[in-house]
Amino acid sequence: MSSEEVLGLLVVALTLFSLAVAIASPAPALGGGGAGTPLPTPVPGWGRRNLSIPLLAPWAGTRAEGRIELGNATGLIVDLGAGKVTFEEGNEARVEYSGTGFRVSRSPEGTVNLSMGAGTVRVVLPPGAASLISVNLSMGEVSGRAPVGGPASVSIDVGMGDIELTVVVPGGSAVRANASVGWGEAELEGVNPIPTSPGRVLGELDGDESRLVEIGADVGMGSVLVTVERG
Amino acid sequence: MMPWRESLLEVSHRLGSVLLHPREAFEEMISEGPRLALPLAVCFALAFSSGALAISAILGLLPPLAFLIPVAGPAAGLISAVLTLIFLLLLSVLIHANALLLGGSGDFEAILAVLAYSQAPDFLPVAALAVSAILGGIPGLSWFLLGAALGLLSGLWGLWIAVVGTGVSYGLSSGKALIAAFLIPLALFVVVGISLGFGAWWVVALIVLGYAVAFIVRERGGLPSPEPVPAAQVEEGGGDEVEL
Repeated sequence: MSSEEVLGLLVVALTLFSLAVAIASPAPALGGGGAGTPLPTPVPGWGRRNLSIPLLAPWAGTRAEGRIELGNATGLIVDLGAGKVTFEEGNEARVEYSGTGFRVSRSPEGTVNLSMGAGTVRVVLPPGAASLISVNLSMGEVSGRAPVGGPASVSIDVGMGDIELTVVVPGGSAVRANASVGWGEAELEGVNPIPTSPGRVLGELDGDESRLVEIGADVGMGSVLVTVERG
Repeated sequence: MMPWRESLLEVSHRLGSVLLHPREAFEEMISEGPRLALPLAVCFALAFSSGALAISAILGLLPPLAFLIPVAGPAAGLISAVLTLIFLLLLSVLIHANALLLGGSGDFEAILAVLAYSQAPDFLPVAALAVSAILGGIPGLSWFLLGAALGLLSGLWGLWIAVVGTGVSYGLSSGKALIAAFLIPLALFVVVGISLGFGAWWVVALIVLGYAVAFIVRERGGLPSPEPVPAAQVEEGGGDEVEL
């Protein structure tokens, strides 16, 4: 093999390698950080996600609006590119949506998975019905009152925007809450604060551990205010 | 030998020849007729990768903004690739005009291929950026800086390829090729950049007018007119410059 072919193969190999890395765009390995310093959560690269969702979904697909009766579903996962998610207390469990790139699925375990490119989602939940609430929002706002049962898990993850949420927990249940922000302010109300590092707030309420409610709220850039109320 | 292996070796040979012996490689390209697919594909891949990786690497170093990578990475890659191709087209037009005014003769496709090939040395800094994006943090930063340093090297390498390719494509001496492919474009970019900074769009119009006048004068015999490159001189090639 000639020197030209060797160099050419090297160019081809490194170009393909670079292109593959650029497409896979790996999570930055956020190394370092001494003891006590919270490491930011590595962000999955855009190639590791469904390419059509983060890049195109906010502008792709036809606009749709409607209503989903949650029925006996105990879990709700909302994945939204950009927009607003609001929670309310009500008598029946339902979701009202308006936006683009709408998809919905139900798992056998009783969890409803709602995915949208951009738009608004209004979630109405009766007290004590939900055991799992998960919201993944790239850009926008999550607000309102979300009643949950015990045990339950509430996870709100916003890339850029605000969380201003009141979580209504059953009386007597234990609560562990965690609010963090990469760039901005994080606050927890209604729980006993546990000192930690800037940008991260932990809190807890003593109670029945068998009905533990775990709350996690994370914002990349923006603000977090989570209030815990006993029902 | 398997067909794909033959193709891969041919592509590798072509790229390696351009990087190591651009004069011989471009003389062969001119005699065969320029083919744009390979150089433009390499150029597009490198430009996309460099744009996406540079943004990913920079955002990866800023944890609060790392969540932007999913959108900013591909967007920067596409913008970088499109801008690079537009820049190549504009530069090709400019060098083509310069070369003709300096008495050269050649095809526009050839200079476009030459300029696209001249981006090939970027495989070094782009690969360093890829490693930087994989590692992230402090190790990633060192690879990012290495990529920036390699960028200077690849820039000089690419300039050499572009000047040699311009000389071969238009039958110009090295000096004239340097003027056509580097000095005039550099001077014009500086002048246009400063002028646009002050909002003086008329300077661009003046430059275009200047080129138009120069071509009219050339047509009337006031400037050296193009002559066909003797086939024998092209084929002999070697390291000799062809002065027409």
